[in-house]
Amino acid sequence: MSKMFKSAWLITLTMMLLLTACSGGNNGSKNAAGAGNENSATATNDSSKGSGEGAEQEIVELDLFVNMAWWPLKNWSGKVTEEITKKTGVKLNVQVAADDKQLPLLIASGDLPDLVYTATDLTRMADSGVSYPFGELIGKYAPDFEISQERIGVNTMADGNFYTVRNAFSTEQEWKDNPKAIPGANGLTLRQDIMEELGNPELNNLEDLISVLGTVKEKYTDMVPLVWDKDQIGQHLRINFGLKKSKGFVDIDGSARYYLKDENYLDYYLYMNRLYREGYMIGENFTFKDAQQDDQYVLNGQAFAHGGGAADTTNPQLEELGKPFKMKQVTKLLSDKAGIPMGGSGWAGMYITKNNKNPEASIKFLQYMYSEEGQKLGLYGIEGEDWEWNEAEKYPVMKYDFNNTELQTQMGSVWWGLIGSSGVNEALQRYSPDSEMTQWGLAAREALEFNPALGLVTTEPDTEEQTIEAQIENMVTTEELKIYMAASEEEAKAQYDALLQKAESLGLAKLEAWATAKYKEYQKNF
Amino acid sequence: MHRRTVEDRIFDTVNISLLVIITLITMYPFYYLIIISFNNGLDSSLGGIYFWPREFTLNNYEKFLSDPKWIKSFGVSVLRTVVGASITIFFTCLTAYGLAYRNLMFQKAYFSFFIVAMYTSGGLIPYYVVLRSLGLLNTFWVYVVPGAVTIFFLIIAVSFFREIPAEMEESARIDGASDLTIFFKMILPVSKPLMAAMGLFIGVGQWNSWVDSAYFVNKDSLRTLTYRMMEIINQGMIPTDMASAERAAAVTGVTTFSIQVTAMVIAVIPILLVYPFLQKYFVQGIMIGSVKG
Repeated sequence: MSKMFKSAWLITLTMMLLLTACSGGNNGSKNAAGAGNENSATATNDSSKGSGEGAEQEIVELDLFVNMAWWPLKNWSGKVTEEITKKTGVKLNVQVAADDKQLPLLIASGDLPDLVYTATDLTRMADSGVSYPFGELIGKYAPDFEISQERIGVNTMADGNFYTVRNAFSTEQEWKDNPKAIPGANGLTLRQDIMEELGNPELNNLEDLISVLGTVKEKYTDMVPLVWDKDQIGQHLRINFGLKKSKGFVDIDGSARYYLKDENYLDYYLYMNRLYREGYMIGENFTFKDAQQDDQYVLNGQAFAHGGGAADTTNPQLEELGKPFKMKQVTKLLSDKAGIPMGGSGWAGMYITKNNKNPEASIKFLQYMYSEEGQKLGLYGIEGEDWEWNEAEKYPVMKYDFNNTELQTQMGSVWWGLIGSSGVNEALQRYSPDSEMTQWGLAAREALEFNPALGLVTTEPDTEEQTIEAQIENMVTTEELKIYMAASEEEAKAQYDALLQKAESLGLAKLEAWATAKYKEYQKNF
Repeated sequence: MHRRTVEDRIFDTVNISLLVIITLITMYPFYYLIIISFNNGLDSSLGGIYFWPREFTLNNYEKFLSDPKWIKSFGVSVLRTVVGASITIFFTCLTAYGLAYRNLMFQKAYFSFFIVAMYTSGGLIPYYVVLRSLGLLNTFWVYVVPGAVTIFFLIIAVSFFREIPAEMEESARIDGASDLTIFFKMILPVSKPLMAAMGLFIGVGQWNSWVDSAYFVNKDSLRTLTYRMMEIINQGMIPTDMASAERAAAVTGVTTFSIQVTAMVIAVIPILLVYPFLQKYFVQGIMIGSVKG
């Protein structure tokens, strides 16, 4: 036995030393993101056929790091991705980030893969030492790759280059040209049966909402009148007050001021405080740890109104559970102050890193993904098979259950943007004539407000401005609760003033001065 | 035999009751995860499940077991746990055996080196660069080689080996045994409690580790079970205030939460089953050698 034991140890030791020695001979510059794809260094002759011609096509394998832990496509698989490969000759080896520290690690160690798709480390990636400027690659390899001046404008960095074209951006004109494009807007749902029992009271403004909630509280004493999704507390009301949520700047007299200084913010806080003080929402709502807790209230019939709810997805669940009631979407704006700031310059961007093995194939691949055909393939699926274009009304008619995210993952499409897509193309897919969310979205369209120059004003990593902003954000998350839960309106006002004072003491004036200077600089591009 | 007094009985009753309560409180969260993993996910979102599944289903488990990547990841986790623990025990004991010689030259310098290494770290980026230059990135060995010597256990092992009577070793030398023969044939056999305790600690560490699988490995075939679990948990973290927040999973009875819970149960149960078999050694192994007698 002891002989066997000793032999086993020795074999293990020998194997380990041998294999370590072998692996030590690998190219040291091979990175973790790319090391798994050793065939990807050069184009390989794959048996995949070219688009429609039957000829053998060279497949270029590129390594893609997606800096979003929740990215649904863990592998480049499914009919949509296969179709993209057929069209472009590019296959991606996808690595999804485990957390937000992984990309900074890859940048710092110089071990970036061919492509990086990120929404959070934009300025770190937009550096000529890290990524290729798009203009340089377009000029060299894809002179017919046309990008609108607006898109170049919102993506141009201080060094005069643009390193990506972020998705989810569309100009005001593009929104106007696509009336079926439905913007993302947090909704509010109400119990349909109770509204009917109450005789479908008027719900035209925020006072009506208070009145309905008051009646529910009075008549249905066991119910919580309003419950919020934990990540969307107050958000539907912010839309009705025309406010930004939790970050960024607003234009006040031509200056970029912190979003909390919007004159409507105090009104919003007082409204929320009133909801709390009058017992229409519960303090426990602020302590919810997961998104299931508000759903539990709604699915059990314990809540009348659901902030952040969508009737289209809640009702099938209620039906499945055999519940005798349904939720109804509030499909109109409840205030003339309503507004949805669309100041952004887009969301996530694809970067071609300086480690890229094949910049030519990469820029041509992106050229296809940014084209109308590529965008629609990535977002909706294969035309004719998965969707048809309604030419008269200009929107895609889906042939599959578009709410089934699992199905989309199997297909290999991503409804909120596969690599490159415009805000309008992402929004068009939400148009479904029978959907209650569509009705709400059409109403919300009326509240879109555009200011891309302001959207560009974002603090950069590792800067003093970012530190100030982060400190203020942290402070707000705790101090805001004191306003919501204040015992009186006066106290709520005092807490709001105190919040602004604390922000000032953390360096808000300096942050605003910086933001205003940037804002004015960006305005020149528009 | 000592006659048990009323006070004894009261003390025992209170003692046992408290222990039972503490045990239940400790066990219940895990038991809750188990029953939720066997319940229809949508039904679970109604709450109110405490002792038994209300709508029993195996769908959550089916979802995992039908996907071969989970089986593969399970295999990688088992392999890294067994190989990782074995290698660490071997190298740690081998190093400790050398350091246990009281007349070892530069002994203090060696110990200083190890103590400094135990308390200081270069940080993630230098560590990553070292792994890359060693060619360990994206190989199975990145799971086991960096931890081949654990300094914490090295110190315990040195202390343990010093407790072994020197006469035993001397007699072996008189019989012509070499250092390695003594180590393999005498030291290791009498160190089973120490090795079992180390095996348990290191094995649990290996089983639970997901950071190395996430940061240092890209091959899908090398992913571990805990990494897959992280993947599932991350999947549910899609920001709800994103532009298209209205989209949710279709009604399938399997929810993100039920999947997360099932993943936790699948990841925890195997290592939990090992624990009772090693626990007795664990207590014995750590105590021996840790107190100077």
